[in-house]
Amino acid sequence: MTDLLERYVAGDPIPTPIRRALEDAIAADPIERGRATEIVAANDGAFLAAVLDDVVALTMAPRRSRLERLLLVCRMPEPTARLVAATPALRWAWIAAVGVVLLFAAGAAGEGWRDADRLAVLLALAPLVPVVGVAAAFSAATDPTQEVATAAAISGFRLLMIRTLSVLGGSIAVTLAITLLSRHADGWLRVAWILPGLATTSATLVLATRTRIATAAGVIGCAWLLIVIAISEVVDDAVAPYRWPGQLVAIVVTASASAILVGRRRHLDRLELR
Amino acid sequence: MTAIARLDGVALRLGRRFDLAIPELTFGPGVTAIVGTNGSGKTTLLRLVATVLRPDIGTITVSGNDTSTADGLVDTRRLLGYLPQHDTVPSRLTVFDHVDLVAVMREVAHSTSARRRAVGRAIRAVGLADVATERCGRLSGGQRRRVAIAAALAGDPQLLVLDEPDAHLDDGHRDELGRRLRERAVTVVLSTHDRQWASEVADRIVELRDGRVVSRR
Amino acid sequence: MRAPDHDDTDARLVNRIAEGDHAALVDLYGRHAAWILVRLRRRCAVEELVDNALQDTFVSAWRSAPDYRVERGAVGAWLWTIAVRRLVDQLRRRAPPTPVDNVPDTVELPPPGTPADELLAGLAPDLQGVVEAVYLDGLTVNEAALLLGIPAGTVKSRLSRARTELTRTEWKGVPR
Repeated sequence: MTDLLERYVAGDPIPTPIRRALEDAIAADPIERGRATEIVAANDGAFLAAVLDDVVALTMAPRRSRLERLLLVCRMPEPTARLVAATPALRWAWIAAVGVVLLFAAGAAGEGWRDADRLAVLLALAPLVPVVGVAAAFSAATDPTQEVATAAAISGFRLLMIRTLSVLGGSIAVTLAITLLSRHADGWLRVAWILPGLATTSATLVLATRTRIATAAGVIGCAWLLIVIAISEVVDDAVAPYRWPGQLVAIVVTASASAILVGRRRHLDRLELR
Repeated sequence: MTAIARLDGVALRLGRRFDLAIPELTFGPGVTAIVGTNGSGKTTLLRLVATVLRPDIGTITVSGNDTSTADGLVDTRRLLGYLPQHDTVPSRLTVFDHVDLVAVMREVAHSTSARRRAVGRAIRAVGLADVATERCGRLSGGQRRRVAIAAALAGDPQLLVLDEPDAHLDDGHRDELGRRLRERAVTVVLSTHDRQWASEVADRIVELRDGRVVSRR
Repeated sequence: MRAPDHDDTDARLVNRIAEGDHAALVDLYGRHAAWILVRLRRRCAVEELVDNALQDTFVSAWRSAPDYRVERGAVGAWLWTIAVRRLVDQLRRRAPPTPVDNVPDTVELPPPGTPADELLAGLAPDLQGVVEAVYLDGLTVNEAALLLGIPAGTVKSRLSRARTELTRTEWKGVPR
């Protein structure tokens, strides 16, 4: 039988009924199978191992998330899309929480609140959304892979940019949806929070090169609120911080902070033990 | 081809005095185990070799790449697989997803399919093929450790830096790990509290005390 | 290749695969991939198609493991029915479909347990091919045409001749 088996594996001509009977036997009997496998593996072992690698890769890989598929459709390179979609804090739970907070700010109120005051609250909170998001994305509690990411070939600056832009994108999308729906804002006020949001976020990242990200976020958040309250009180105008002078300041802050980050990007390649 | 890591005149201060000082140390092919008590500097040394920390003075070169330069650093990291001491595995991701994400960050392969093949092989190598699609939060401590090991192994890096890879592993898995590390024939630098296992798995043992090398054998 | 674990039966492996156990898939592959590769090679001379079919077979086995039923047959036979269909898929993509005349798509199978060599012995070689493809491997007339590389009409006419031959034997239950 072994001789027949060897001839079978070698591809020698065999009458069909005999071949078929042998094949049925191999399919059914573990011992015949084992012998056949031995003979085949002698020549095709490496090939069979390679096909197994492909079979495993094709069946183990999970279905991509909807966001990832969307990014791929938009021609984003696959590794970048994977990192964007995996950004800690780009989770529906977080986005929903943000939405709830902003809706509360936009809609709820105590008795006697003027529309302008509600608007002021909304505009004050909106630039803090990406700050919280960035803190969540980079804090060790929500991102346990930090140290591994540091030792990885990807540049620390690139990873920072991918995550920050992902958080900003998500934050702006959610906040925009809410402010556009709000009946308290109109015209340019609906988007007056965007540049301040960029300023607070970039300032947080710069501060985070000196201290822990959570601390940086707290400091910048408080500073922002204090500034907004102070300006509104002094000028007695709830939306004063968001008029043209304020927008210009936001641009300057964002540009400076970005420049500092670019300058310090080599520092992002190492773990800062604080 | 395997990587050689050299430390020359390396010192690092963490806190008020120099915590670690290594005048000269070379890691070559085979397994080197770093042993020593807690606080002896094992983790700091491994972090230096893994380029996670930068020495205050001295140089670290890996296969001729000077890790203090930008290019040398990236080229070194392409050769490197690192396992930190603490748990690095996020609970909400599946085993495959986590190892794949780390592989993306480590730039393990040039195509998605090649990367996935490497990830699949690494997961099989640590014996987690049966739970590859489970969320890491549902795994035991030993399984999570093995997930992190797989993330370091994916793509067959020439230099493996593993901080207490045997932590939480039962004897069977620990012995299997040792066997696999030895059969890879690359440069492995690991730390462990288990001196018995160190003598079984390592070709060389380096002992640290108070941030100094006190013996090598 | 790693030696497969012999503790589990094939059926048990397929059950574990249905539960999402990749280690079981690796073991099943270790047991069956080699003979399926050879068997596919004997049916198709184009290496690339055979290689793709082998990979597709086990990916399909992974997906359809939940549908496997022990009562319907052994795992080996189940895998082969998947493999031969994946090979036909490869051929369909490669070769332009032959013009299909009015050919019935399915044919009644012979009674279960009819030994293969009894069915095939005594038939002329060109008839053996179609009988094996249609009756033993369970392919449709069009699929058999792709596998054998002949027009569907030829398959049909050879089947008619084969039926005529087979009615001459003692074998009962010959389909129309």
